[in-house]
Amino acid sequence: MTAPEYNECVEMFADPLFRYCVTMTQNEMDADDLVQISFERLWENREKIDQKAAKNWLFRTAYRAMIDTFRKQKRIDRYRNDQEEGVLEVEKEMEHSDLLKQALTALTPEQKNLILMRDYEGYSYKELCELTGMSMSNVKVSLFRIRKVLKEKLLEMDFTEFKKN
Amino acid sequence: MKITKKNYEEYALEYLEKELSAEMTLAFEEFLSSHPEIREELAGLREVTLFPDMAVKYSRKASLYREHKKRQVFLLAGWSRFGAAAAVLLLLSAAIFLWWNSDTETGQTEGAWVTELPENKPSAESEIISIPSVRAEKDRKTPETEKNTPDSEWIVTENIRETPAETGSDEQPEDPETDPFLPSRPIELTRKGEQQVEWILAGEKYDHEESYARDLVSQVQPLPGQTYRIESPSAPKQYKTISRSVSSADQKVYKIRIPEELLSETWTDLSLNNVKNKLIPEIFNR
Repeated sequence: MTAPEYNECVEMFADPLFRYCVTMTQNEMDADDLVQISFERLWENREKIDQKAAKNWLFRTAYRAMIDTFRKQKRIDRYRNDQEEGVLEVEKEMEHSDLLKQALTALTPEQKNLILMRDYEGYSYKELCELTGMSMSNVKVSLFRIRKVLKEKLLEMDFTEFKKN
Repeated sequence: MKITKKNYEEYALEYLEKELSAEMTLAFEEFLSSHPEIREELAGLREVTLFPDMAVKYSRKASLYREHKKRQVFLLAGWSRFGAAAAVLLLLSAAIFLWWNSDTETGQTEGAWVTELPENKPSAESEIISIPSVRAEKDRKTPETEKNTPDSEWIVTENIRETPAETGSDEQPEDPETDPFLPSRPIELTRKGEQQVEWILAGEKYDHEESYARDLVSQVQPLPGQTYRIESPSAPKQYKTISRSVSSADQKVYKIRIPEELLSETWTDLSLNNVKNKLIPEIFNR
């Protein structure tokens, strides 16, 4: 990929990648970091990457970087919790008012990735197979179950809101 | 394939997303009519679809774009095959020191400025090291008038038998921070034995380059047998060599030939400090 082609990728994919990262992390600063990391790596590897494959590459890189951070954070949290013996109560921040996006917290990162690729980016089942390495049947079943989890979460949240009112 | 309670999930998704063929849609609806609990399970699932908020934009997009000249900087880091340039660059850094620290009083000037053609260079031996062009042909935006402009050169002259000048410059450049050619702060000394090195930069994108080079030379206190050279490829196909205190004996001239576009866009951006702090260590460490 040439420098102008790379710049085209920035033009085309920076916004969708950012939206994807914001939804995945529920945090704009983390999303910003992921976008920067992904494009930095794309630039470093531009000689090896064809422009046509750049979108998949970017989203995959952002996802992996997020998982790495997630795992690291999990270790830190576990350590901190052990140290503090549960003194600190972790409060979950809800940054988005949108119920469906809040419901995403019920999903694992893998599930979130899959549903966002399908709904946000409009990936076909076949493309999702290539992206995730899952079988076609597995992709379809997973997506169906994810939608079920989201529905249950929505009903639960709706019920909680109802009780509050 | 027959739709059963074991495999219905796979079809359920396609049914919800309206991806099933007409035939399979009928078959699935038939399955649902005989399994009301699954119909209930599917109820409302069509609404569980995420939509991106298109109003969300990445505000720092501008920071992601890459200038072509940045690419050149990256490519500079990849020099490894120019081992021979290492020695020259060592000399080069000593020259920077020399200029920076040289006395500005030039009362000992010997001889007037003389204009020579390149073939009359007063060098006993010379070595030319070419740094390849890194700008792709399609990215060239050289005006027609500049098409035949030769590459700029950095000249390093080594006076083998001369001792280094132990001088310091009292006449600092007025505003070193604003001039990309000028070192913004004193550069460390690199000297070896009795070698004395002079480094002259000729850049063609700057109208003042020749007078700048003259100024630099004027800051160096001449020593017997020391040569000062300015090469300015300001005119197409014509090198201008200005020399003074010419001594033809015991000199070795090194040339580093740098493509014009690299010098004009990247090399000057590096600044002398970056040459010292980045480029030279990179080459020397390989």
